[in-house]
Amino acid sequence: MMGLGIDGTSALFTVSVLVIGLASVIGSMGYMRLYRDDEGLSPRLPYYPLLLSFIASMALIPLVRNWLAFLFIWEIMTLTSYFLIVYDWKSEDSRRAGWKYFVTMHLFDTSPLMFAVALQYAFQGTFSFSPIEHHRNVIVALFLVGFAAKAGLFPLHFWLPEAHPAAPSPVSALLSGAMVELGLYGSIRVLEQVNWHVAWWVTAMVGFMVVTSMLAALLSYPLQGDVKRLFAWSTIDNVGWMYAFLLAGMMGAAGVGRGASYYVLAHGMAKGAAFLTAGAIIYSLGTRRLTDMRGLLKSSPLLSGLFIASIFAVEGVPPFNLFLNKMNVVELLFRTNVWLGVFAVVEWVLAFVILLRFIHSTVLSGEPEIKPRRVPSSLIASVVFLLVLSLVSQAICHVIWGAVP
Amino acid sequence: MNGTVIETLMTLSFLVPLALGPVEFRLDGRRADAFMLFVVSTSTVLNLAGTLLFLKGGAGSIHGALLKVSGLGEVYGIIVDPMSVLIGVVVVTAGLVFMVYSMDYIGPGNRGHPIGEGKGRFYAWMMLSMGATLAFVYSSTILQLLIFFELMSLACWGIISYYRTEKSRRAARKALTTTNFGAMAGLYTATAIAIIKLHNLSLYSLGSLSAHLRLLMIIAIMIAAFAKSAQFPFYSWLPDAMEAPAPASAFLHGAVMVEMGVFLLARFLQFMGPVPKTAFYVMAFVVIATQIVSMAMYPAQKDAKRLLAYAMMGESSAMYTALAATLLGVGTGVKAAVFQIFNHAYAGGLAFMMVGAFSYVLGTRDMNGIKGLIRLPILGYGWGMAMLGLAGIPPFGVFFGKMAILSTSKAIEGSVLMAVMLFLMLMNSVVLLMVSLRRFHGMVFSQGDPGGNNLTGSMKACILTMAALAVLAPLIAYPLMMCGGW
Repeated sequence: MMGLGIDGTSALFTVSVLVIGLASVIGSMGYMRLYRDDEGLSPRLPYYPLLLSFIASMALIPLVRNWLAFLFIWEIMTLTSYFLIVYDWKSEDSRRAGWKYFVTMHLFDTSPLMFAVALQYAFQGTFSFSPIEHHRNVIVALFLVGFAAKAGLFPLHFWLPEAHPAAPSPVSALLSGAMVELGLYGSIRVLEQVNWHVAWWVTAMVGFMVVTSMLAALLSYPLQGDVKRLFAWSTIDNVGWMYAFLLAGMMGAAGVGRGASYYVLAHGMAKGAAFLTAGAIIYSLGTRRLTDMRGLLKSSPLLSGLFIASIFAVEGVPPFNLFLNKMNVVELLFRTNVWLGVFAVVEWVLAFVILLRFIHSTVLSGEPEIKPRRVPSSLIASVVFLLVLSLVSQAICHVIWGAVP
Repeated sequence: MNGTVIETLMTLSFLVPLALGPVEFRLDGRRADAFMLFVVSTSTVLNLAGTLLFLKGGAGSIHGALLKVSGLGEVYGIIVDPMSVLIGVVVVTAGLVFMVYSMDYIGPGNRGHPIGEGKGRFYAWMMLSMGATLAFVYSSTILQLLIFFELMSLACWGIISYYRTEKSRRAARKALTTTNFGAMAGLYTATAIAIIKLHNLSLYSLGSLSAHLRLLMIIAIMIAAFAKSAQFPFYSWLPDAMEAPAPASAFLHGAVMVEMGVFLLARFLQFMGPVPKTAFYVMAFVVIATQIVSMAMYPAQKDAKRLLAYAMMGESSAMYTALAATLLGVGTGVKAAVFQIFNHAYAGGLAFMMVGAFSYVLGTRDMNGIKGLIRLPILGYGWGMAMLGLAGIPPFGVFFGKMAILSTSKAIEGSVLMAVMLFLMLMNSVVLLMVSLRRFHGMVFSQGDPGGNNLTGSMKACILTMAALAVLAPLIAYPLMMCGGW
């Protein structure tokens, strides 16, 4: 009934979900002690069942070939992620972020997707993935809007900087490293059904979202005072980069699905590491304010090292493999539209400079004010695991892509 | 041979509660419980047996005339086809769960409405309404539809005024007047047309009406249907009718009886064939107005039950949207509407049972006053599941029903109003989610000790059963959806 199938793109997305999922489960074992103190006073939602259902739904999505099954599992993903975002329900911020997330998803994600899937069924008579022939641009546009809302592309990004930080850090790693990328995955599948041929206004819509997402992130970085919000904005930035592959594809470039899948795996490992590092810092210092992290290098060289490495990995600094993927985007854009290429390079450099300044003004300068607490080794292990994979992600992608028919 | 057996089983399944229900007026206490359980489970077993035989026999439509008179043609009869069987299943299964639930709900343990005596009276009205609904569903003639439509309204009156307060009596009168007006203006007209023009009351003769009379008749039927389903402008009786005991509201105003308006119109569309497009515009106007009213009322509701009443209006409107597509020539609309009646019944029923549980345990349905339900998982999660289910979030069946309704979207090519209606259906669920999720956070994810009574074991079991049915509904409906004869 679900019409399962696999190809290189599906395999890379599923592997990426499973790897971050594994790291997140390992990280949770130590991290969730943070919430254990007052369990008797305030009952909690069942964390591990929700987390595992969330991971399972995300791992399954790239494997189905039927839109109704896709949508069903997609919504299970939304539902479980909502409950994980409000896990810390005693905090007003978490409740508000959870409400905003779920409502935004229902309005801008679920509703357009339901309409798109139903239209395709009404005219094509099947829920299976099949070429979109009637009302092509309307259906594709509805799909793309729905997926963009999940991916957190500007201007549908507004839920993301609240929801991702509100969740427990191992969940944030999954939200940013795996869930938003599935929006990109869905977009790839839809565009394949129309052979990447869409009306100019659909291309323009995506182009606008890509450029403004990157710009909005660039302008928002300096304003951030919360380490998890900083990484959430980095996700919006990177989703812009990923969608640049699709933009190039719509403008005629070939083979962008492969490039995007490689990017997603590399970014997923790096972003997962970044959020788990943030979790380790929150665990250790009891705060997520960047200014409270001053002097961390002196008090905890290990955490500082992981923090710096994670930022380098996310920003695509060699030897982290995201560098190769970002280069791939730049090259593609130069081939399709020189101005977009220039824009991407400038944005890349500026973002790196801003984040470097954060590193200098926080961990590298000043004296420590808070004495760090020992971080559970499982949490450190999960970060190291993902950082190591970030160093070899390109090779992993080659192997997997080659192994799948 | 098999056909006769199925016919007999289905006929008995509504005759048993109709004939034996009134006996309950003379009973009370445990004896009332025992008699009710016997009657309702007999009816359920008969109906489900009929359903299984029907599926086994290839699900071909069966029509039997029970009474024929010269000049009026068929007066009483029965149609067993996938549509009536599907709705019959929902009436008996949801009905049985509600009745078991009310065994403890109507009693001294209820904190909001402690009841010492008068249980039998409640059961009698409920069994009458169950029997009337079943008889209505299997009807093959316009007169029969009219009679049981009116009997449903009467039972509704009896139930709403059950607590015998001034407020409940007023609400009961309003409900009876409104639905009775619908019957007078609508079904009486339709009956008159059938007698004068067709000399036959059978639904099967509707196809031979002229286009002009078809339009007249379908508009008459719409009035009756809209009054029953509380659509604009006949909606105000439904929120007031929330004075009824919760399990009764679950059956009458939530899950089953209100949707019989949709069923009535679907039946006529099924037998009538193409209708002039004017009917579509009437429908579109009513659906759009109802959706807007329903959405606009959500945020202002404090009483959980009134919130549900407006949600029921919106959900029925969504079903009418599918019928509107049929008016534009998309044949699958009837099927989608009936499929949604089925899916929605269990989610709606669960929601009303949860509000009943609030009354029972906490003694209030004021959503502002309920806090800390996370400490009472059945209440907290049950309420969350019901509201998410109604908003059409998977894994609940309403999602599939909404997909079926959306799949009639080919009708957009016939009129752009269809796109507006489908859009409003989606927006209605967004607004419902916005409001109910905020309420959910306030009621469940909040500090405080809710205190209160405990739910009894049978009430818990009913809630869990209904929650499971709300998820499994599309699977149960699947074999009937896939067979021919729609």
